[in-house]
Amino acid sequence: MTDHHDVIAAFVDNEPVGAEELDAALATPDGREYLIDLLVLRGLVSGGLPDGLRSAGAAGRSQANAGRGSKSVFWLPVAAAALVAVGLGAGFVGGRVLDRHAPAVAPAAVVTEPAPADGPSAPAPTHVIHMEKGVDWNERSGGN
Amino acid sequence: MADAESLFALHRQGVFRYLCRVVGRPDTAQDLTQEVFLRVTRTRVPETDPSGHRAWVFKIARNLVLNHVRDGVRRGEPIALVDSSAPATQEIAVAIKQAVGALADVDRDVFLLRESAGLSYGEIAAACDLTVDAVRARLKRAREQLRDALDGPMRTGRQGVIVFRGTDSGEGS
Repeated sequence: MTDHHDVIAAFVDNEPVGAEELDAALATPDGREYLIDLLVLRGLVSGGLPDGLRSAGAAGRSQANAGRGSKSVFWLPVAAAALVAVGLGAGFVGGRVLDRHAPAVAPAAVVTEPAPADGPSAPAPTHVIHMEKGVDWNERSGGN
Repeated sequence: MADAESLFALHRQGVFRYLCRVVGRPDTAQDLTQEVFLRVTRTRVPETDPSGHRAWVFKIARNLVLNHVRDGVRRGEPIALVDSSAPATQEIAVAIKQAVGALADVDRDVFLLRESAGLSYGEIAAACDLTVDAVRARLKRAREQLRDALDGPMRTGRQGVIVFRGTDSGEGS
């Protein structure tokens, strides 16, 4: 009854089976017993899942739900960044306005000395790191 | 065209279940799951159908966990195939652990990819570099071996309520 077992196993595993083949397989006591054994075995193997497995699955779902429902959390840093930008802009404009009314003061002279042309040059690199697109980073995945 | 993020959303739980079954420790399985998807993000996702993507992700998971188990054996660490911390009963958990552990490596992978991860025969074949017929044969052999090894729990199970359920093959895909 090997063929019958294969048909029943395929049926239990969501693989396509012919209706007539399945009918023939289940018509035998051996086939029916095998079907029950497969289901009992599946129940045994999946029944002893560790707690962490279940909780992690639940955590995954709750994370997914949280991800869908937390758009407001996403906007918080954006709003904060906007506030900082507005503050910086206002400070810049304010500074320019105040500067226009302030008495002119000659700026202190800044003396820069050119580096001697014949001075010591920068040392040659001892180690060169080559980064290759597609190997060391992937732009599609956010550069990670 | 699937990206790493969508593959993570679709297959994270299945990969974790499979890894958890193989290593027996949820914390280790969690780390390995992260590593699997880290590799997914670092690699170009092949252009194929959803089934091909799933097989590809699980192939990465399988290779990773094989290396992990191999390294653990090299370091002398005990590898628990099934965590017995929260079983239906302690005896059944131990029996399942021993029976699954006694399977040949590839047979065990095929069985767990089917029962824990819900992969189709074709997907298992792609993940394990086997033919579909080989998957069918190994799955059958693994089940017969488990059926014999778990004779006592099987008899008890036959006296209880049976729920027909497919494995979680969908995972949103």
